[in-house]
Amino acid sequence: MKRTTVTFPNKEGLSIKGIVFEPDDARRRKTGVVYLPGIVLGLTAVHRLAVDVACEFQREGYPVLLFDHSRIGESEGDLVSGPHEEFVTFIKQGGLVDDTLVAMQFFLSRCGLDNIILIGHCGGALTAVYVAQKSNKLAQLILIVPPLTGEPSEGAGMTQGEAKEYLALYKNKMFSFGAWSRLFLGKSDYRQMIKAVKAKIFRKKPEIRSGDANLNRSFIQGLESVGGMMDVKIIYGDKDPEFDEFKGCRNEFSRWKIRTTVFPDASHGFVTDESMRLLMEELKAA
Amino acid sequence: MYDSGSSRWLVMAPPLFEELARTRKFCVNAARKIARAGFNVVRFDYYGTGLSEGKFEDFTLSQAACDLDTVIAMCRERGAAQVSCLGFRFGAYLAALRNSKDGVGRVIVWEPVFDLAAYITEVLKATAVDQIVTYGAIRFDQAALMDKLAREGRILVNGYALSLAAVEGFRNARPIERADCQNIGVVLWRRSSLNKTPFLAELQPVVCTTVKAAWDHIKFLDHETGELVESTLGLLKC
Repeated sequence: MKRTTVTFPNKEGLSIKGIVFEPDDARRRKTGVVYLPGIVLGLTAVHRLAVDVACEFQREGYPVLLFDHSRIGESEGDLVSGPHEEFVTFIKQGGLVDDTLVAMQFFLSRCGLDNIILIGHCGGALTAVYVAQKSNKLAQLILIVPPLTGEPSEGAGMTQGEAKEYLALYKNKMFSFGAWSRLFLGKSDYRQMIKAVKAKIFRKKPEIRSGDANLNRSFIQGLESVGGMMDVKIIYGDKDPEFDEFKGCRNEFSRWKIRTTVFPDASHGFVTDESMRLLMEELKAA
Repeated sequence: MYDSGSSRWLVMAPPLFEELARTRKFCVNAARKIARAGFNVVRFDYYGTGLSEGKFEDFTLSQAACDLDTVIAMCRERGAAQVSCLGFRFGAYLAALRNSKDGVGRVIVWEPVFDLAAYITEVLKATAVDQIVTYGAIRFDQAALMDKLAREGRILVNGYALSLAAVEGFRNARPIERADCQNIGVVLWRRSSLNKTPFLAELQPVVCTTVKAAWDHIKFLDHETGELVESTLGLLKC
């Protein structure tokens, strides 16, 4: 088994850098795996989940491609600085789709593959669905905790799960002198605190059918369109900040022939031994 | 490697844990700019971290130090008479240990972590946040986690499988002292860092006022390296 660094141009001529994980020839399959990480931190984010997943699939005989989209990580191009929300919006609006399509084409050709399993975590899962609407080379989509909410500019507020998380963290700081100092010295994020309390008080059950303004319409519509076309699986943790939104949509996902799995005590980043084990087992079984 | 065809070489020793991912683009930008200014720049990830081979639970302090030595040796095999070192956060500890060693030119540190025992204590405290996010409460206090580490040989910290060997290596590592820092260039962008290492102010650090790159959160992603690279180049040329 080996790893090979690769470089290929995107549509703008920027160099995309990646790694191909090549299995032993004897076990090599004609289906490859492409993993898309979340947000814009690149392949090593979220405790190297991309690398761990790639190694697991490589051991099972799948060639795997990991790459950084242009402007991200090791790839060419400049990325502007900005608040986290702006990058979230960029991804929710499909900013990474074109590079992903180019990467898949490169991978199919380089490794002589028939098709690809596309796995996406968080924002990577959104990109995966948008890509699935434009590609006929996908064998399967595996979507790990895709964010279901839309953009704040479209009325999406803090989710119940996010509010719960923030309030739990504040509660943990009840006896922290540092935390109280920051609160009274004007160094706390008061806006965040108010949002968390408001979200907790004004509970609303999110639901696709009600046309909930909180939900990411492009993603939901994308899911509906690809659900019957290929094998699609969504994996969620019951401690994910958007778990309530996921529960509200689960029946519809089922109607669209999308398989879903929920893990207990699993947060967005799968930071415990048990949740990581469950995730890896589920990915291999999918 | 960012090859400028120069006779001047610089190796960048990176941070650890999620600090590495959060600052990767920032470091890539800095490396490109420093290369354009006339240095061959080499970035790498320690074994078991980033894009390097191995699992994170195989990471140890001694292995990371060897990795830096291996990269320096590689640069010398390619013709470098001297290799300057730039260490960022944890990488600064390793870089500082190589100060004044044979074959090592100028050592520059960004936002240095000079006390690894204190650093690993802070890292381990972060498991409290993991537990609150996952379980809604703290299920295992620090004593229980240390007990688990001793029994099982590893614990997960923010998803990273930290081994007993790694923790012991950090706890037993002697802190970098003032005497180790002869002629080391220091660049900071958080004034609060001066409080964490008492002698840092004596090293006459350059404090950048426009750099916002954060290794401890992703609320704001800053990739601007102009002032930082200028300051670093200024120190490299001294």
